[in-house]
Amino acid sequence: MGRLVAIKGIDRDLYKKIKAIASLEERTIGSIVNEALRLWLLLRSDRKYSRWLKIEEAYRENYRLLVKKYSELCERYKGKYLAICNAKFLGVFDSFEEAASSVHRNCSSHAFIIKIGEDIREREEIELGFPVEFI
Amino acid sequence: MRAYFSNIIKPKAPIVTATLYNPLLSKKATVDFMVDTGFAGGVLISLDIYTELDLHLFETVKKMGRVVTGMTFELRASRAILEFNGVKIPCMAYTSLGVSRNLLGREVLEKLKMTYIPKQNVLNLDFDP
Repeated sequence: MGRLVAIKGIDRDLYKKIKAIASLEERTIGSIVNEALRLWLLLRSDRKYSRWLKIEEAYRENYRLLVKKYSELCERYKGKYLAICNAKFLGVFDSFEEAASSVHRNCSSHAFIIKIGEDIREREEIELGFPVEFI
Repeated sequence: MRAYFSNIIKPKAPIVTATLYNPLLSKKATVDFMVDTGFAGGVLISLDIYTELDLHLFETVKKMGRVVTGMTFELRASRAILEFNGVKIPCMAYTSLGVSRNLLGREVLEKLKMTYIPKQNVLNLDFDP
């Protein structure tokens, strides 16, 4: 059983058709939506998207660990550099360069190098101005 | 480093070609950056360049990019090093899925002297120690 997700802006006519098909095929609407989403991802699955998703997944795992242990680390190692990859602590280092060298030897999917004590909330804003171009 | 005006973009845009390195200087890429004084960060680059330099291995936590209309979106962020006329300038590199234009922002520009006279096609950038 998947989690409940509310989606705004669904085309009512499209939804009625899907509901009818789901009923005829004795399937849930959720299973059809999942199939449609998988198909959509396949259509767009060039290397860039799959690479992004892979990095994103590893980022989330590393971030969870960082948040869980950060206050404890701040008490003991403030000012040093923390390296995390593969959802594990790689170590605490005296300099960014030492941490970077260790990451380079040991990590491939994603890694954090955080100066212990800096704000780790994902909220700092960077002004982008205009225009920013997207594909 | 080469600075010039691109006539492909209208009105013509100030472009700087520079070399971007990862923090270990083990990988580099030559990148055309549009000079953008509206961008507060160091450089904004495409995901291709970001991963080519392995910057996803030197990341800090994500930041929120905010455009002038108020829209925000997630930015990946990593340290990087920009080489300018033989001078290496540490800066933050940002990316997001779908970024197609590379920008050179104020974090780097504040370390440079820039002469910008578009009518005369003059665009000079020098390191200002």
